Amino acid sequence: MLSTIYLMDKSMEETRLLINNPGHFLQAVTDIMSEIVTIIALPSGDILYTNRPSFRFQTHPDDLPAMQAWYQRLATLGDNGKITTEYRVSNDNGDLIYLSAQGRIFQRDNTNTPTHALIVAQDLTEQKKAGLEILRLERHERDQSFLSSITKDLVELKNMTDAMEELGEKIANYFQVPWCTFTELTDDPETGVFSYGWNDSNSPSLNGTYRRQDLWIAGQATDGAAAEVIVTCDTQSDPRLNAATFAALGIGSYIAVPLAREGKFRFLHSITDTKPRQWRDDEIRLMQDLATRIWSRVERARVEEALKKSEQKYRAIFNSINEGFTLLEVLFDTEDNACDILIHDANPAQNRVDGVQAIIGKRVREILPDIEQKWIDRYAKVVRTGEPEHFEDWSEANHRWYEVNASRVGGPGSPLVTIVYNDINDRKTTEEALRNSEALLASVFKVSPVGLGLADATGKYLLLNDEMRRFLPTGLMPSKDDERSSRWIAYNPDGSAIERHDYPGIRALRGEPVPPFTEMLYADDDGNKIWTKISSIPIRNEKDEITGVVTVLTDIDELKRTAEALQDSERQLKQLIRQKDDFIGTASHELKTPVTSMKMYADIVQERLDELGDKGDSDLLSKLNAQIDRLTSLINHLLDTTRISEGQLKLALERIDIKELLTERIEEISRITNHHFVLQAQDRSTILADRERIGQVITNLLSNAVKYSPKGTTITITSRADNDGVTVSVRDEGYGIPEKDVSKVFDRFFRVSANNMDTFPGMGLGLYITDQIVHKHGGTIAVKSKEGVGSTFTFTLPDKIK
Amino acid sequence: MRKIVLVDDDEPIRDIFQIVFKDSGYALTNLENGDKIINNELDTPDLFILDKQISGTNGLDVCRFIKKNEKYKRVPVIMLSASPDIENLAKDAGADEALPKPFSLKQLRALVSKYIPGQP
Repeated sequence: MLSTIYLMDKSMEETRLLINNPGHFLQAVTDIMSEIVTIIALPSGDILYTNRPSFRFQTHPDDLPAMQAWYQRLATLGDNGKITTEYRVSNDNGDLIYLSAQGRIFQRDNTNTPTHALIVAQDLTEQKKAGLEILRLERHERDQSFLSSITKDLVELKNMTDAMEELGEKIANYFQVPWCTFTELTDDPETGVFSYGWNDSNSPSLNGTYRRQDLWIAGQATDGAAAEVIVTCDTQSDPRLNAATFAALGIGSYIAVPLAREGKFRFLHSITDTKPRQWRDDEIRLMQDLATRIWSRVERARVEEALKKSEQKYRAIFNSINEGFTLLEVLFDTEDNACDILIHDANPAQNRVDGVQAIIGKRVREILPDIEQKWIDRYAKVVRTGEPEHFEDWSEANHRWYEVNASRVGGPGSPLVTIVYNDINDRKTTEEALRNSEALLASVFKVSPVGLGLADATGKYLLLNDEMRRFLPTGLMPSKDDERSSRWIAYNPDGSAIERHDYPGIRALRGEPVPPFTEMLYADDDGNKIWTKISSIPIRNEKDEITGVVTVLTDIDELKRTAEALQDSERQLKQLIRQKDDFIGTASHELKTPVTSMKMYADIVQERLDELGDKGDSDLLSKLNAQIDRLTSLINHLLDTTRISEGQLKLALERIDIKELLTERIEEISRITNHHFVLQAQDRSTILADRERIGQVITNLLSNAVKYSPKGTTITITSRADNDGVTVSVRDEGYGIPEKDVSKVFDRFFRVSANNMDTFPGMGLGLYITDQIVHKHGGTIAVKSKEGVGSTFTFTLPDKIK
Repeated sequence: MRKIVLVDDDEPIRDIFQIVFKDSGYALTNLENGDKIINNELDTPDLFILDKQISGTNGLDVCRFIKKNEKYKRVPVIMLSASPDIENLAKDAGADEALPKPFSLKQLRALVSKYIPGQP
């Protein structure tokens, strides 16, 4: 048309001048035109002329009817009428060319019937192709938006059946089919179940159980080939299918996408049409996309369902367990250091266990500002390693002991940790107290200066302290230790040696009675002899069988040596005492000889003076005699004392009348003193005793009373007898004995040491001898005294001497 | 005349006995030891008075000899001693009496007249 415009711009005159040969001109114009110019014969459409002689036009069969109709309409047009159409032709290469053609009548015959038409066509192929691409893109876009709308629906999927039916309708509408089904397959290789699906009101539901071999192509939709999409464009002509089955169901064509879980054919998503249908690639692709998404959502729903169930179980456990149970998130700072813990969840027991309330959603440092970093670090370690931790630790912030199990929730990178924990404070406190007391016992055991050991039934020590180990370095009982038993010698109390098989430990093991302490002499490595004292007791189990022995060993060496030294010095002392006693005995014996002579001479002189009637000198000699008697008495006391200390006091027993003896002795003493004597005695109180010695006792007590009471005072003697024996008292009205001295008056050589005592000479032996004689008779003697009032000495003699 | 034999190695005692029995009607023989008795050189007396502790054969053994000897055995024996247990010892040795030292003149005379009655 450009040329036409060109022509129109020139004046007609000039144009006529230019075109001398219209034939050539036309040829030139059509040659340079981009349009295809064709002259066709009407009504046949045969091409008479074209400016693209290289083209072999052949109208696309699909467009032929439309072109026939177009030609007929063209023929009806007037000269200036023109109509437009689009159609497709093929060139020699078989390329499909899209054309947009404009036609008008070009020539008529005599009857004014159009015979030729001029067709000017533009090649729209490029534009058309671009248009198709747009269409495809548009369809793709529509598919994608559909897919995302389905995906969105899937997100909100609640009830599987309802949601799937909804989805089924949507998908069926989108594909313009009456059925959309979802089939889940069980492990049964024979059957398949159409579980969920949608059908339009004109079509029956396809839900139900089917035999796999009836519906699906053999070899397809099996475990091994689950990923292959099954596409059938016409069930009745598809040789792979059982046409009758599909005819009965009214199914003409379908797309079915099988899906697998863990390599097993589990799910089939289909769209089904009643008619045969040429399924486009993009439709198949879309179905694949839909099936994949739905399947993954179904799978997720299944997992969620299972998860929900396990979550319920978890919740039940979570809420009912007695231990504190919390879900924590470890928080890290920018330098990846664990800095705090966020509490996501906590069970009801948590509050009871740690006493902290309302912790969910809070940070630990907010709840427990004093929390020690070690706790956070511990959970951070669990987060980093994924290794569960079980530990017991003291929390300063809670001021309690806890036992904790911590494990990471989720894979690497998850900062979540569950902890199950318990308050073990009571247990720990008890344990600690126990440990302390055990430690105390252990240290006491260890450092005890006494050797302690626990041996088993074979005589091997399972436990022995340092002191024990000093003596038993091999940990074996002396009696069981062949190599070392020669180091030991055990002694009986009488000093005889004990045989090895009767050592204390071995006797205890045999269940025999063991003397409380056995002295054993031990030779150490240097040959030093060490005295020990050993005691063993058996340990019995509940069946009363002896399972071991506890042995206590005391190093008594020093003690023993001290005792020996003591014994030595005691022996020496005894010897000295004996020597002294011997000396006193000999001395007093020798003293008596001259005293006897003195007394005799005095007697002789006195007799002579009496004969001469020299009264004054006779009295003097009487006094001399009295002094000689006193000297004799002192010597006798000394002699008695040495005999008592040597255990040589011997009794000559006979039946004596105590009243008679008292009377005799009182008479004797009353001759030499002017004290008053009062005797109150029972008749016939006889007793078995040594007359001389008991007489000595009486005389001593009377002399004592005389000595320690003023002249002219009364001394009262009482005697009474009963079945057990005789009791005699001598009471004076004298000076009495100071309270502090009362208990000592019977001691050897004791003398009451008051200021006035110089007036009471003596050796302090009388009461000692008296006491010894009474005791030798199996009797007792006692004194009651009050200063300024007097003293009463009382002795009791049993009737029979044991 | 009744005869008394005293055996005592203590000279003052012998002297006292000499004084006491002089002119008493008794014939006293003073001996320092018992040798004459044991050797049978002595005539049988009416009374022996023996000190327990004498040189040579002691008084108790002399007493035992006397009590076994046909010649002397019927003669009473009084045993003198400063030992406190003389009574038992004397009895054991067969003595008739024990007189512990010291004793009074009275005690001595009483014992002598007990064993030699009627005299002096």
